[in-house]
Amino acid sequence: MDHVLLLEDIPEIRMWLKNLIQQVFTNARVVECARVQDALLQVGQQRFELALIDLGLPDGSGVTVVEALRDKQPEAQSVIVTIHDDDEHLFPALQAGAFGYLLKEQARELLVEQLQRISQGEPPLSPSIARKVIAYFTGQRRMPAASVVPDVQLTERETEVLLRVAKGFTLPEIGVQLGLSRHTIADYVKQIYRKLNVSSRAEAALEAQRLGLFGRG
Amino acid sequence: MRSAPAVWASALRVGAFLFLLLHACLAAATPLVLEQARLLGPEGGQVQLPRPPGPVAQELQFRFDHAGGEREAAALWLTSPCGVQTVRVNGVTLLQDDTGLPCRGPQLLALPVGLLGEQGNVLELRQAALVQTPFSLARTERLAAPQIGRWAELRQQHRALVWQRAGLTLGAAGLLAGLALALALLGLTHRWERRLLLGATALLAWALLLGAEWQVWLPRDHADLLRGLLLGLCCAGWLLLLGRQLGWRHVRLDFLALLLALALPWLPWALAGSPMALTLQAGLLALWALALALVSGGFVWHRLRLWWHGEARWLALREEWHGTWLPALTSLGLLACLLAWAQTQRSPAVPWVTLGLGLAGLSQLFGFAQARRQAEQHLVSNDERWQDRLVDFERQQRALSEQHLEQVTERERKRIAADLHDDLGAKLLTIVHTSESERISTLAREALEEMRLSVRGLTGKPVQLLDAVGDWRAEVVSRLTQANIEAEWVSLSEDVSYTLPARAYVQTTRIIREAISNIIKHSGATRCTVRCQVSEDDFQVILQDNGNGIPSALDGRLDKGHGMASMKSRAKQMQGQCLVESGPGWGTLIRLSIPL
Repeated sequence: MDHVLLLEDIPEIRMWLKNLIQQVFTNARVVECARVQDALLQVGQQRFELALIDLGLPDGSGVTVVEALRDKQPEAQSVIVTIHDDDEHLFPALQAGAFGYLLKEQARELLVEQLQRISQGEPPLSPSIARKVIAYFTGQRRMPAASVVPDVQLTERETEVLLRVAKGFTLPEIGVQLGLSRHTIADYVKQIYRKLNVSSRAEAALEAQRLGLFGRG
Repeated sequence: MRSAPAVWASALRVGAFLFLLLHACLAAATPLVLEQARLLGPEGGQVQLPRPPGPVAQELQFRFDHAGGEREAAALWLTSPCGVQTVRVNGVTLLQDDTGLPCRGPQLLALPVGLLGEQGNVLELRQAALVQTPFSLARTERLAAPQIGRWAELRQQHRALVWQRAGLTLGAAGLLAGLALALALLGLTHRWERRLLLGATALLAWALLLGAEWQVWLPRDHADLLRGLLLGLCCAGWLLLLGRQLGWRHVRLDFLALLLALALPWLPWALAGSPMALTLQAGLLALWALALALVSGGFVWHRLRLWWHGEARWLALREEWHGTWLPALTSLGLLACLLAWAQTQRSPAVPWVTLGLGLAGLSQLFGFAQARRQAEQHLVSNDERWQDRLVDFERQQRALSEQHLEQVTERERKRIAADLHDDLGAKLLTIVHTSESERISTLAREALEEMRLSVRGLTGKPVQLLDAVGDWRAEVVSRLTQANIEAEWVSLSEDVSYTLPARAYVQTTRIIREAISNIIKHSGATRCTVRCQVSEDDFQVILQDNGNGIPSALDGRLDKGHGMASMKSRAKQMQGQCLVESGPGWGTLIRLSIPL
């Protein structure tokens, strides 16, 4: 993780987050931005391996940057750093392609651990987010237009994991219940994140087509 | 018009008439009826009465005896004095009328005491010549045999006959005229009921025609012309009324027909005296008859077809009676009258036409009243429908405004939430991460959590109880696990379908969070069991640890540093309760119950 993008508007927090990043990735070169526009500019200019993105910014939402990264640098990991812990804020960002989220007010040690986990491919998943994901996929299955969307469906195992997360079981607990290793469960979660993003993108494309943004012929 | 249209006259009149008629019949044998007369003048000879007027004026002489004539008042009664110009008894002129008496009015002349002798009385009548004017029925009029009898008796019979001929006829005419007036007023005042004017015209013309027969109200010379005019008007009105049912709606046609009705009779009248006149008159009446036959036929055909294709055919029979057959029969009567009159004959159908027209007029009135009632009902039901619609509209409006209010409130909540996050949240966050003091940053972190929960309570929708339990489990188990406390969670069964209001969810979250914090910080427990259950209408969370319990030193003032008081007051805010049981050695048990 040599190149890290940090988008945060409050200087003190930005400073603190930078410290945090440098604590986890000692060699990291952190590019700091306070505005969405600056961040978009940076995304166009250089490559990043990791991006910590705040959601509520003075000139827009961090989701825009998540989308830009997803489109231009698919290999970069976007992580939402936010004060909003509610799924109404988090879910759109996850759909846009964010790979996990951090709640800013958590203790430093906890954040360090979570960031490490995310960078190792173990994104967090709260019960309410899990419920949203389930509702999203079952709702999509019900939509007739979804037949045009590339068939992105959760596997039985993935659904099983999601259902257990929704009931409040922690990932290690689920691993024990299903007789799977912690890494396998993490892989499922990663897969769920990926499918959520792919499916959302397909759906957005379909919606755009429906609105005539792509022309019809 | 020999018979009287007595059918619909008032019961009293009919009763009186029948009584008098009966009386007259019983007494009929008494008067002397002079049926034989001698014709004076060059022709001479015996004649038999009743007889029609001749082509020239004639003198008739009657000879009769009269027993008791010197002692009591006698009377001469002419039941049908057609064209009588002078009446002389024993050389005394009792009556002189140059134009001749009309046929319809019975004439009763008093014969003073002493005028008549026991034998050899002479009655001389001068009968005017027949004048053939168009529309006159004079050719069929006959001078009836004069009767001589006691004054009192003949006066009775005279009155009965006057009742029969004048009273009933004129009464009927008056009723028809009244009906016509009512129809005309309705027709004039209601724009969509103008056809009633046509009915009124027919009825009024017929009523006047009845009067004209009686010749009481108009100059005798013009009576015949007037009869022609009225007949035309009656026919035209009736035809147009029937035509309305066939869908004729041409005001010009109406005017044309009425104008023709008024204009045509003048033609034969102008030619009076010439033989052409009678032919013309007959032709005119035949023309009316033809038109009447055609229109009535068309009308009946039209009505029958409607009836046949209509629904509830047998139920509609009653309506069919006064809607179809009454007009048809009236037309038939009118036709019969026209045909008879075309041949200058009296028609026995006159009273039936009178009756038919009267009933038709009533039917029109009835129809109007019914239409009016329907219109009122329609109005009422319309009114009700509008009322309903209004109520509906108001309800929708209210729902809409409530929805709008909800939207506005929701937007405002979101704005407040966003502001809190952006301003207060950012500042608290800065404190959390920049404060040197661990205590202050912990406080700020807690404040931030509180703020977030408040915001969630502010904006939230009801939460499914199972979802809420899932959230709590995730938080509790991960926190306890991190603190190296073994966690056991006993969850609800899967079929629970209760929801929690957002505020109750937030308050419960805070209570559980506080309780877990206490366990982690103060209890020194190694194991904690959390049991969620729904019993009756309560939701219960029971947290039990195996720690030290609450030291007795703190008993009574549990609140210090343990937030017990805030837990209890939060539970109380939800109408629930939070009980804390503790004993040294067996840990602490917190029993939270919330009504669902």
